[in-house]
Amino acid sequence: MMQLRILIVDDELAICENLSDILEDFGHDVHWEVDPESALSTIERENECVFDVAILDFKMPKMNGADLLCKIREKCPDIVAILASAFCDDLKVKDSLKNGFNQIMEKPLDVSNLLKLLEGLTPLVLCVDDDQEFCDSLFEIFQSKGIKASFSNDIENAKQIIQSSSFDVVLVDLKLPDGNGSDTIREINCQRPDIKTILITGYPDQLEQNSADIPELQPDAVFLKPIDPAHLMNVIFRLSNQST
Amino acid sequence: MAIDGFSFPMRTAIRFVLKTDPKKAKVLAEKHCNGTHPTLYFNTKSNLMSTKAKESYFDRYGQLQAYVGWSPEDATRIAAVKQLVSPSFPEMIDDFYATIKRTDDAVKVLTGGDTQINRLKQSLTSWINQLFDGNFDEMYVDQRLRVGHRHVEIGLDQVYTNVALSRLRSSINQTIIAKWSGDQIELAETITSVNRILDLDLAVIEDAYQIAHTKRQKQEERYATIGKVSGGIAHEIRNPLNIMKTSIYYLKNAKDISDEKRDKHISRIEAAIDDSNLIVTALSEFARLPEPNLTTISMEKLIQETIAKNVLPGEPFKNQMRFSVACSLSDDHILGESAQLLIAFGNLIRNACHAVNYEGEIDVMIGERNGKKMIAIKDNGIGIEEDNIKRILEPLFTTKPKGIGLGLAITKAIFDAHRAELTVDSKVGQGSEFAVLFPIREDV
Repeated sequence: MMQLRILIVDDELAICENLSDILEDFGHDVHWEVDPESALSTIERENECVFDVAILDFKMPKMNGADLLCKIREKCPDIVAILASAFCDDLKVKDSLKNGFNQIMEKPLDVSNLLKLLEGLTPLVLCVDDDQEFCDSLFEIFQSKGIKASFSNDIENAKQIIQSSSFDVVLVDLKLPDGNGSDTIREINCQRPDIKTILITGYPDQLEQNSADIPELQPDAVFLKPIDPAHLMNVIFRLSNQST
Repeated sequence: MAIDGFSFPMRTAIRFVLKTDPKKAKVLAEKHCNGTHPTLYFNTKSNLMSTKAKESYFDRYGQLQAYVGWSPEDATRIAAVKQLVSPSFPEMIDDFYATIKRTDDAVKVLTGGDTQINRLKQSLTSWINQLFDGNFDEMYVDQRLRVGHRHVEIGLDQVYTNVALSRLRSSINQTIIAKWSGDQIELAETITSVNRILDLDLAVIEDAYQIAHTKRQKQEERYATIGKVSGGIAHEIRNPLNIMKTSIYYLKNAKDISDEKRDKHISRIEAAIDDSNLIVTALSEFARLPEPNLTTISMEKLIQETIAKNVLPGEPFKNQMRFSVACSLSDDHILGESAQLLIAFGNLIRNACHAVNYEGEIDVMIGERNGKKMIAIKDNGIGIEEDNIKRILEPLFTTKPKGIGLGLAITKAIFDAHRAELTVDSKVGQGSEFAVLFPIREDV
């Protein structure tokens, strides 16, 4: 399972600590707050979003879970938000799905369901690059974070692998022995719009020739070598969970 | 009520005594059992009013009699005319029920068909016979009260009592006039007496109808509230359940649990069980709040006990919070059930402690207001916002993040049952006063 950065906000201290114990035991990185306002200041203190997932209570003093999420999304537009509420038959809570929660979970929480849900957030990645060393280091990074990944050194092989598995994200190097990464991405975006694409290149000056492309056929993100692994992880997670 | 093992006159006598004094009746029954073993069944369920209530109702009947100008002569005149009208009773009764049968709304409530109608005819026969017996005693009044109660039970609109009695009145009056052979002035007086007793009967039935109707309405409101409260409780109890469930998951599934962690999770589960129990207790207190068992109690003692129970000595805030209890009454006794009032005042005192955040001043005043004995609890705490004042007595309304919103609802229910009045006066930032006005003793 991918190691996730999880924010828990529940005015019940015992629940924060319990979930934190469980999720940390599964290797996640957990931060919790009993006060919605201090949760917000934690988020606002950072330059960028430092959480992948937020598990929020609904009924809290000062601010309810839905209002809190609205504020969280200002900094973390793509955070996966789970509402954990004892008031699930409440209309206000039902509205919360419209308010941007990805999932509503009833209290008492079914922890195995929560873990399954988190596991489902782990992206399946394909990396197409002829630089074996780069592939090896990516493999280690992915493994340490619990991300499942396949690797391919050329386009032909990559096309076959794509058929066999349901990848969330495909990373493609710009210069490949049997063709051009931009063309490959265009092809993938055309045939499999459900797959998110990232273009990787060490030659930023060669990118410009494709800028006239229609947005749907362009890569969802572009990374320049040397890449920042932590940033790459965040983008992969964000892209893979945009569709869910 | 069944009385076995007695001769018929004895049974009648016992039945009569039972109505007013069950204890005496039991002694009487045992004394006259002549070696046989009597069985006395006291069907308390059918007692719509307590003996005390019946006695006080009989006093009210006296007032109603005085109002219509009732005199012993009325009773004599009515008794005297009985033999003249009684041969026509069967005819009148047949007409009475024939009319009902023609009225859709009235016949709708008679679900038992002809069997029920025959039974009702018997009741009406005994009712009309009793009317002309001239004994307008407690039993007589009790019978009339039962009619009103019964009408609420079967859902008969009270309007039919009025029109049916009007029809019966016409039949009776016409019969008397047709058969009268004596003095015309005396006839007019007799008709007036008959009208008076019929009006009194109608008033009693109406009274009973009102009493039973209000009681039923209250009960329905109560069920509705309990329904609403249970819904809220379901939500509230999920919180401790959530804690238990996640702690148990951790204990079962985590890879390496330190002793410290294990102990922590176990005590957390225990605390969650205690919390659930508190919620359940609050609910059952609310749902099964019995009628108070009234005894004479001292208000000052009650308050001292409440404070002792709810503000435990040795708690850290004890030194910062100031309590004062002042009593300006020479006789501070009221009728009440102290177990219930302890809950009610306990809630008020605890709320006051929260309002002053355990460091302000709380004054309890025992005195008089509007001629009624009063206990007022005043604090200099945060106060209640104007919009919330109206809502604080509603079940499930709470401004406390961890509150269930049952405390004040239970408190109000207890004061209602004591027929005490709860008033709230509050200003944000200045404090609140909750005053409880107890009914004047005679009204209890």
